[in-house]
Amino acid sequence: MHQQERPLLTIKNLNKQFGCGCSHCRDTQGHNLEDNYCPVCGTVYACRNVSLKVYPAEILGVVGESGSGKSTLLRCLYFDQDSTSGEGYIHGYNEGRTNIFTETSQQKNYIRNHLLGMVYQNPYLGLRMNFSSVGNIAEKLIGAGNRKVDFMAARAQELLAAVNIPTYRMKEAPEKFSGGMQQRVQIAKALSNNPPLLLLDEVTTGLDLSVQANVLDLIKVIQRDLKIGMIVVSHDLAVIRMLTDRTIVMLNGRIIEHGLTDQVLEDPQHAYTQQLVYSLL
Amino acid sequence: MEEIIRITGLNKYFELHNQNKRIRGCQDINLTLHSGGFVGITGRSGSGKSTILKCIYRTYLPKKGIIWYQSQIYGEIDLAQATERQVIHLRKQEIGYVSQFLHVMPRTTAREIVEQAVLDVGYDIGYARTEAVNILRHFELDEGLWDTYPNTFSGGEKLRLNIASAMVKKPRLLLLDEPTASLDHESKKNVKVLLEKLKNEGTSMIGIFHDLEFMEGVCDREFAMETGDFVI
Repeated sequence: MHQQERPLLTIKNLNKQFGCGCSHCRDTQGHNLEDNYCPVCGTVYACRNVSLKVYPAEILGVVGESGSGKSTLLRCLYFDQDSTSGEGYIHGYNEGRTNIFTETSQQKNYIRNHLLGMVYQNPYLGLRMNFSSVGNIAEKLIGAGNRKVDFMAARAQELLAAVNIPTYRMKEAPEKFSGGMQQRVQIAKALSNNPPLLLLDEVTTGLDLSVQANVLDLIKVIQRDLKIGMIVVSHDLAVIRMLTDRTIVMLNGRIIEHGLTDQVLEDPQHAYTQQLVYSLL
Repeated sequence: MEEIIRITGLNKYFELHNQNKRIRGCQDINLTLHSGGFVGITGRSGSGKSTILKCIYRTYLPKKGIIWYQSQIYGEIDLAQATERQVIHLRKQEIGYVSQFLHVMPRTTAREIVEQAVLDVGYDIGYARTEAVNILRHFELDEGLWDTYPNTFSGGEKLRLNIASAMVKKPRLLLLDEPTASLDHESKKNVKVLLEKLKNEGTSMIGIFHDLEFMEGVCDREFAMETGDFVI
C-alpha cells in the first residue's frame, strides 16, 4: 500500500501586504477592497491566505494575470521580501518543524543558499552582469559555504555545459549574452547548490519561441534527471500545460482554484479561470 | 470475478459562469467493470461518452456520484473524491488513457515518449528501452521515425504512438476514447491484437468506439448512450 507522502514545502496562510492597512480594510476579509487595493489608505494586499504544498520532484504551476500576486509569492518564499504573516515549512530544514518565515536573517540566508534556487524573469535580478558566468556560479557556491576554488571552477563548468553555454564563453560576463543565454546562466546558478526546490518566475517571458523552447526543455530535463521540486510561475498556459502536473490559479492575491493541470485547463470551475482558459486556448 | 470499477449515480454538468449557462455532460450513470473485463460504450457524438471516461481519469470533476476503484496502491478509492496527488500516482502507475489526440512534450522523440511512460511506472531505463522498442515494432512505426519528433508524423502515426505509450505501461485500467477513429484497417488490427493481449494479461478496459465491427469479440459488454444517459 502507498506510504503517506511528505511534502517538500508547505505554506499555510501566507499574507503579504504593502502598507499598514486601516480600519476600512483591516479584518474585513477583503470586502472593502477594490480588487486587492484599499481605496482609503492605499494598502495593497498582494498575497492573501495563500496555502500550498509542493512534493518532491513535482512541478507546481502558478497562473494568474499581472498583479495577481504570483511573483510576490515567490519573492516571499525566497525571502526577497518579508511576508506579513503565515507559516512555511521545508522538509530539508529542521525536518519541516520550523516556520521558515519567522527565522533570523542568518537562518533565512542559510535556507536560501542551501535549499532554494531562484530564476527571475529579469536576469538582472539574478545575475551579476559584470561578473563572469563562472564567477556568478562561484558566488552562489561561496554563499553555500564552499571555499575550494578548484571545486567551484569544475562545478561551474559542469553546470554551464549542462545548460549549453559553450566552453569558450564561460568566462564572459552575462551582460554580453543574449536573453536566452542569460536565463540559462541563471538556471545553472540556481542549480549550483543542488537545491531540492527551484523557484521559476516567468522564465520564458520575453524570449523568442526557439529560445523559449530551449529553456523549457532544460527545465523538463532538470526535473526528470535531478528530481527537483519546482514552482513555475507563468501567465502562459501553454508553458503550464507542458511542464506541470498540478496548477493553482491566483486572482487579487488569493488562490481561487487549484487542481490537476489538465482538469484546470479542460474543466475550469471558477469564472475567472474559465475566462482565462477560454480567452487563451 | 472481482469488481475493479463501480460507478454509481455519476453526474457531470458544466457551469459556464460567464455565459450563465449549464451544459449537460452525463447523468445518473451506473456501470460496473470486472477485473480483466472490457466494457464498450457507444452513442452519437455529444451523448456524453467521453465525459464518463474523463470523469474516471479526473480530467473532469464529477458533480455527483461515486467512482469506486480497486487500486493496487491505495486499495478501495473513490476517484471522484481522490486527492490530486493520488490521481497523479494512479495515472502514472495504474490508469492509462488513450484519446484520438497526442498530447506530448514538444521536442521529445517517439522513443523517449514511450520510454518515459515505462519509467513513470517505476521500471529502470534498461527495461524501458527494451519495452519501447518492442511496442514501437509491434505497431509497425517506421524505425526511421523513432528518434524524430512526432509533430512531423501523420495522423495515423501519431495515433499509433499515442496508443503505444499508453499500452506499454500495461496499466491496470485502460480508458480508450475512440483511439481507432482515424486508423487504417491494418493498424486497427494491430490495436485489436494488443488489446486482446492486454486483456488476457488482466488489464481492465472501458472503451468508446464508433466502429461496432471493431468492438465485436473484444468487448464483454456494451452500453449505448443517448444524450447523457445509458440506454440498455
